[in-house]
Amino acid sequence: MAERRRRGSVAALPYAAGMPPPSPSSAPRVGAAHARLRSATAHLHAGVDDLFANGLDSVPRYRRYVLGMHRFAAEYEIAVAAAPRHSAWLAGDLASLSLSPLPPEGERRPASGAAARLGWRYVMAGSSMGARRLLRDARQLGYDDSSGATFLAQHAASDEWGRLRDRLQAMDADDETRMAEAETGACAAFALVRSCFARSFERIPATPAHEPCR
Amino acid sequence: MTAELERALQACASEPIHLSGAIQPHGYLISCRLPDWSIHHVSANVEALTGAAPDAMLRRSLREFITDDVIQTIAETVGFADPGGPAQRAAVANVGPLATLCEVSVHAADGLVHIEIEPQQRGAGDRSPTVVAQAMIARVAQGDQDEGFHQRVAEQVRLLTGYDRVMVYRFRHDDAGEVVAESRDAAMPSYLGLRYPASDIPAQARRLYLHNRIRVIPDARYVPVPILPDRSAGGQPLDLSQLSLRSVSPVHLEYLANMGVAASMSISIVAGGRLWGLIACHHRQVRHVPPGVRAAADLFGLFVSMRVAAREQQACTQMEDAARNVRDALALRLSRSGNGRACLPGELGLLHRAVPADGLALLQAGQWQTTGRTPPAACIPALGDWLAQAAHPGAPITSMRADDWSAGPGATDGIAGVLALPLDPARDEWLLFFRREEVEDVRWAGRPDEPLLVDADGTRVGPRASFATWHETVRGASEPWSDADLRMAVRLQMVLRDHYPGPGERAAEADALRGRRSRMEVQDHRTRLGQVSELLENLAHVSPDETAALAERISRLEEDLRLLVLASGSDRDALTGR
Repeated sequence: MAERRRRGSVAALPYAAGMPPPSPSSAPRVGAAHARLRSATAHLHAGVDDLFANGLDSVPRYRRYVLGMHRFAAEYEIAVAAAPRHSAWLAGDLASLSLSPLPPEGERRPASGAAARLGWRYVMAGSSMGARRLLRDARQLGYDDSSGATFLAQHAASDEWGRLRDRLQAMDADDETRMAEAETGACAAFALVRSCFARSFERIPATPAHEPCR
Repeated sequence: MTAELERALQACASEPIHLSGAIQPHGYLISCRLPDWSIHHVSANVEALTGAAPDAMLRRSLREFITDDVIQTIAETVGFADPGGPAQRAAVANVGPLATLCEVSVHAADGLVHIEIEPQQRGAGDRSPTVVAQAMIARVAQGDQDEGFHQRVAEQVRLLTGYDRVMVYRFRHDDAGEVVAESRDAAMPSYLGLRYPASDIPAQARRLYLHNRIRVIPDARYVPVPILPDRSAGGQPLDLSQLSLRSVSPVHLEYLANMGVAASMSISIVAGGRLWGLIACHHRQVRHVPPGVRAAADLFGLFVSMRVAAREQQACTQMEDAARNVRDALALRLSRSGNGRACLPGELGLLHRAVPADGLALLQAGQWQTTGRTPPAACIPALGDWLAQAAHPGAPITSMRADDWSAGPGATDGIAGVLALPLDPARDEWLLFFRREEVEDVRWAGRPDEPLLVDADGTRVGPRASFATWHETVRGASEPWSDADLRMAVRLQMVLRDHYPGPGERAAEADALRGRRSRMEVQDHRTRLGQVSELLENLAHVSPDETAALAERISRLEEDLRLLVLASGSDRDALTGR
């Protein structure tokens, strides 16, 4: 068990769900606000990464990923009051994969405050980093930028992470109130990613060949 | 039933099917807010129609994407429609850069104008839905009033729509459904007489079908198109109840696939404010039903609903009128006799006609006096125990199962249903109506005890895979006692109590009873008026002359009621000396 965790945190994490690695050795020097967010969300982030410990190495895993990400993107866009760009790309991928979307559940309101929204954006923008690796996986499975992997292609090519990092650099990490709001936003977003994937895993059961018993 | 199956049934029954967040792919959705026609929601496929990505349409005005004349027609249609009402056809128009010829339907809900756009199918035809529906109505109205009515309904809908199979499906008292008429392609097996468990159309679907009267799935293998965003401004999932294009439950699609159905349509039959049944249509191949044909089917469905409601009301009124006459005659005889209690045994024949039943027994001072089909006197002790346990002071007690009040149907000479009216519970005096056991050979569409298939771990739920006829012989139960039966029983009880004073019952109590009876009679009239007004709701297409004649008769009724109110007011004034 300990062996698997270690392997997961070193090798698999940069892959996972497209989120930024919590401790990337090659990443540029991180600002203080970024570091605080990364530390505050590390446990949630690792939990999400564990869901895709081997990346998107099978069609069922890829389908789970697209289905869960669509639900997350739809909620994210409400939370940060953004136009539905990510969810539109994912809607196209769902159609290519012949997948029914997960319907919305409960209530979702915009996150209150710019700092909380920044926390949400940290999670979505961060996933654009991992999207480059995931896009390679998706292409291996036969999906491409125009069919089945539009989201990953667009997301990987975007500069969301660069812009977000600039905003984090400009943030005062000693402003406890704002930092706490940002952390709350980021934690809420990670928790939502987790629950969206829980739903997509339930919808698309693992096939024995792809999901050996552990 | 396993715990997993029970949980799965519960999950199906609580699935919010109107919040699916997606539409079927044979059309497009654009939802706007007035007055500026700002676009708040679009279906993810909208770019194929308008040439603009969802992102480029949201928060912009519809005027940038649809011509003003079409918007004007949409506005007029919405102006005439009730908010929350079903989608109305607004226009046939060329939409988008490719000038795609489309049918445009519209409805308003939750402050949004939902515009549903369907590219017109080839050969859709341009007959007026009203004219088509009128011709259909004329054809089903021919012939005997009742005999074969549902059969003619099924045939007309099949002629209109061309489905392989059209069924009239009726909900029973236990919410199971039964195919009561069918018109089908000769190559299809017959479903006539088959019964479907209540869970096939769960309660929330039945509620939805009360208001959303017609539903079409042109291709049951479709992939749903998400709506962007799929939540309202208030953060709730978007309510798609009245959308023609609403994406349905995945379980329902699997159900259709397991049945070998590739396309379906269903039209609600609503009577007395409840979902009486459905006109259900199936096809083995993908089948598009253009909005014009749907509109004709909808109008026709309204007519069928009205006929069913009128027929049910008529039957109910006839039965209640007959029961009232019986009660009046009984009251006269009892008051003439001067001793209701002693006179009752001589009136069993009359009493039997006061509530629809196969037999009647009077239990008085340990005496068991009967008429018609009744259980043997040997049942009295067990029956007495059941009454003692079930008794609510003064109220009628019913059961439709012999097991409840006896050792079972074998011990009751084939009687199963009982409706017990307390005459004088203190002296254990009762009037008991009986119904015989109905031994039914039920043919189910698949095993009714396994309506869903559930994985061993309970995570994966699907509809049953086999719809092969499953025979079941149902025993031990009678036709159930309906609300109307109970109403008649309570009325009878009041007449009897007037003439059957128990020990120590005083005049004041008799007065109170009379007051209660007259209130119940007024309540009866209100119920009847309510039913009549429901009939009015469906009268969409009557001539101005007929409307005028109706208005005149309603005015006369209003005047009569007003005079009655005034008269009772002056009575009160006289009593209070004002």
